[in-house]
Amino acid sequence: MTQNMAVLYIKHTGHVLAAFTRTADPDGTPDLAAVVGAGFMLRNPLTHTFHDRLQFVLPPDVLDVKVVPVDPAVFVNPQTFVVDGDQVTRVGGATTARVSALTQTAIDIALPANTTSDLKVWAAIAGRAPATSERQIVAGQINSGSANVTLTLAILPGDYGVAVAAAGLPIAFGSRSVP
Amino acid sequence: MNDVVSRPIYYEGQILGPADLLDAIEYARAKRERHDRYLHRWGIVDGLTLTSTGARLFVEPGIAIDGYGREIVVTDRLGLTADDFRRVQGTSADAAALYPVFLTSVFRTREPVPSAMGACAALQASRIQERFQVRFGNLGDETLAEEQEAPGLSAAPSPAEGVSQWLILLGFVSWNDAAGSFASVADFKDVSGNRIGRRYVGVNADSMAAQSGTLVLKTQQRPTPSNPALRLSDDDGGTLSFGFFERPGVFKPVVTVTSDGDIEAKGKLQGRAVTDAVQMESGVATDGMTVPLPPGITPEQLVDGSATVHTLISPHIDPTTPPAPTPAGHVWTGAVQECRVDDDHRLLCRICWTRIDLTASPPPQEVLVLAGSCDYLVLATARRGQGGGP
Repeated sequence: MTQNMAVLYIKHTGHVLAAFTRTADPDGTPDLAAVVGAGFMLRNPLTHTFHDRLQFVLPPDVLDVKVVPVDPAVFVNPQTFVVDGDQVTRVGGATTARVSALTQTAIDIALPANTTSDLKVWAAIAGRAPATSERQIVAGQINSGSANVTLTLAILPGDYGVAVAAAGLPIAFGSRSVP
Repeated sequence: MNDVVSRPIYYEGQILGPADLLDAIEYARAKRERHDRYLHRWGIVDGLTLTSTGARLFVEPGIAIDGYGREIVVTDRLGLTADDFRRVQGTSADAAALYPVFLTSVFRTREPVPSAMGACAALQASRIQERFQVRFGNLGDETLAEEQEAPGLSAAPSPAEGVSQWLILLGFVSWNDAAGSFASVADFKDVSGNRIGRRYVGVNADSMAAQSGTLVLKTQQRPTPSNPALRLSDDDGGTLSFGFFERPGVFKPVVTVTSDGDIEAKGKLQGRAVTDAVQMESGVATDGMTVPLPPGITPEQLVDGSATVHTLISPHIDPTTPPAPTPAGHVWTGAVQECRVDDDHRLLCRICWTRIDLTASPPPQEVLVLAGSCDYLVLATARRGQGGGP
């Protein structure tokens, strides 16, 4: 394996979604559009506690790519890492941001407790295929001293999968119905 | 003088007047000026750099050719003072601005000396001094130098006396108003995104031929290891090389084209793929992303069919790197749940990780299905006439 790898990450929060190496040009910054192609497909881990199969096709404008030193653990579970300067670090713990409410016009993202500093949050909302092709991506911030933020969107009633990334916390996945 | 080039000749017994001798001089001068104007391009030949000590601005010795073909020779270092600058710019010079400094040709008769023909004869000048003038320009005048138009072709030389209006830009100087001195000098200045500055002489030629078997183009007269050069040589059956001079006379090529058409490059070859050549990329990639394409192959080429790719993937499961902490007596095993490339050349790879507690009976298990990684190898070819052009 080469000394460097490239990581594809959420531009707003730094969460790593994918990692790769290239023998021909191991140190060059890859073309974002080329590695995202028709859209990066984000899928949730399946566990005994959450086994809904969700998928989110993300466009290149919400992503970025960076070359960092190789860490083999990233290739095993890239979604547990974030970009930290010129390297990647693992985000651990059970604490995540979660969706406290999802309507046709808004999504409310909440933390278990008030944050002591401004916290960037990002969410992808995707209709549960094949019922609907609805897709929304929102980004915002939970202000210091608050535990939640409400971001506007526009979706139709239906069943949705939601991925929520809050800076420094693992990505959380969930399912929601919008009446 | 008419427009026909006329070469003076003399015959035995001819009584020569000053005009006959002057014709010979003017013939030679006109010929030299036409050579310098039409075989070369006007500009600085050598030297004439600007230096400053603050109180004084210096023009170093050098040679230039102006647009009339006049040769301007500065044999000694010329010093200009702050007063010279103030006489042109007054006391309101812009401290942040770069003022152009020009060189022009001045032909003047030397002070007349008494004629040897007798006390009654008038004082006669017997020499013309080919001098020069250095002057400060106003802001914006630097563009004038590039906009100058040379006079048309003529059999006659430039005027024998007088001040040429042809400006040769030597560089720029900035002014420190508080100190009343020159602040800095510069060779070039950015004007609306264009780099304007010292112009050096050139050559008008359609072909150049070396005599030693090696022709070298350099970006500096005395190149350092960071200045590139191009060398065409008869060595090794004929080579064309781009490279650098490690030290004087020692050329180190980084790209060489041989007489067989082979290209030897020290670095990477990038760009659109060469037709019919197989391009390759390999590495490790994770679930959800587009498999990286070889250098020179674009996603658009896959869509429009001008390139064909062959992708080989195999799951990359490293038992020494488990997906989560492993308690004593437990092991993680990875099984491939999905490993394929979809129609969008997107890698879909999921690994089902199972943690087995070997100390219990029957062993309890924890299962995780995570984004997995694959080793990939992509071979690509661009079709003739569709992928190799610029």
